[in-house]
Amino acid sequence: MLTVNNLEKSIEGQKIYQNITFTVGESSIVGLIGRNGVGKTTLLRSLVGIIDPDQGEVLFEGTNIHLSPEIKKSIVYVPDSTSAYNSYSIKELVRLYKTIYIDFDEVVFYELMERFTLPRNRKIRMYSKGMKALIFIILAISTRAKCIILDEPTNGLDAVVKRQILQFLIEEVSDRGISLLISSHHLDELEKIADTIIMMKNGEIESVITMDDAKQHYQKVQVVYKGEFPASIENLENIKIIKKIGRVTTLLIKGNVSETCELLQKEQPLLLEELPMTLEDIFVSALGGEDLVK
Amino acid sequence: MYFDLNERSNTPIWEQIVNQVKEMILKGILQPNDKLSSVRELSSILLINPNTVSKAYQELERQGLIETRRGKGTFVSETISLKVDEEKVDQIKKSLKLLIVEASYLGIDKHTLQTWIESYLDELGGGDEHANGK
Repeated sequence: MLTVNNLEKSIEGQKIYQNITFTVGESSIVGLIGRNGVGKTTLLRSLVGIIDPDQGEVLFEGTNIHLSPEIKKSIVYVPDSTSAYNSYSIKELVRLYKTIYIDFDEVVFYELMERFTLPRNRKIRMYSKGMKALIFIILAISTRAKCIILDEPTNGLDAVVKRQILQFLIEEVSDRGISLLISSHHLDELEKIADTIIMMKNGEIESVITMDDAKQHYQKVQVVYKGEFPASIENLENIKIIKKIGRVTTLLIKGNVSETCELLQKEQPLLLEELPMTLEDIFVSALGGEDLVK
Repeated sequence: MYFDLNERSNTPIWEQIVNQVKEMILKGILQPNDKLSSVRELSSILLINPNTVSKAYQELERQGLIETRRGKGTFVSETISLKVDEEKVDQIKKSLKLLIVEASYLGIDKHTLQTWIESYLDELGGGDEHANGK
């Protein structure tokens, strides 16, 4: 549905991202994760034509969105901050969206406002953060676009609104087969709803994992050896030591899980056991570094 | 239908759904011709990807436990005809053997083991009714 080929962008001589290639399939939910400042927002904005990339192309069902702007009605972007619309009333927002998205369905919009019991006659700035988040997602859904790009949609929302938003999005995916590309730091949420996770590091794609594979490709284990931790294992490329406390070493195996476990077993550990693993473990081991904040 | 999903488990979510539906059917919480939640409802309640639910339902259907009735939804099959999956049976035999070996090292005797097995079978409402006639 959405194909991104070799996208590259520099701003003021600084590379923001490069070699970005991925696809978002039909009725698929793709999560985009990466540390703050890695270029996620800039990338998302490039996918909808707010920013022009220096190189590469973004295709929606085969049509280049930067060369054929009319195809942009099929993709809608929900920004993380909506303060630019603060002085708009709901009516004005609807008029704006209708001008941009010719398929915008006003009836659906007001039905959804009703369903979430959102008051209508206010300026955007008068709504709470949760209401604003909902309104902009409702606006996006009402454009009838096939692909919705969401930049941190649940950031700073309470548990109830968060659940409402996620349920609403999941229902739309299952009812209408739309696709979602979601950037988020809420890994536990993404872990359940996404079928594919794209991890970004230093402005490039570190890895693309389908959730089905994730649990086969990665394995977290706890291992205890009587003496020193065997150097032969420490030097393995697909092993990342998460922490060492006394004799107990926790490590993450990336790929070749069963072979690697055999190697661990060969060194005659006192204890070797699998630990439950989350997306957060993969995130920290793949993207974590010594530098704290970028 | 009530599911208790553990996203930290190494068992994929779709497989957890398959296992829990099977358990509900055995315990009679789900009975023949009962309607299952739709993919849309279940994914929305559990906040999981709709494809995950579809995958679980497809697997249950392949195993003959549920069936899709066109335009009506998904139901527990009227007659559950469990297909014999040789590989699975073999796997169960092996894990049982392993358990018995471990149990004997822990000093659990034959009688205790048998009592446990019987009580689990009772818990699942007879349990061996599906095995009859095979």
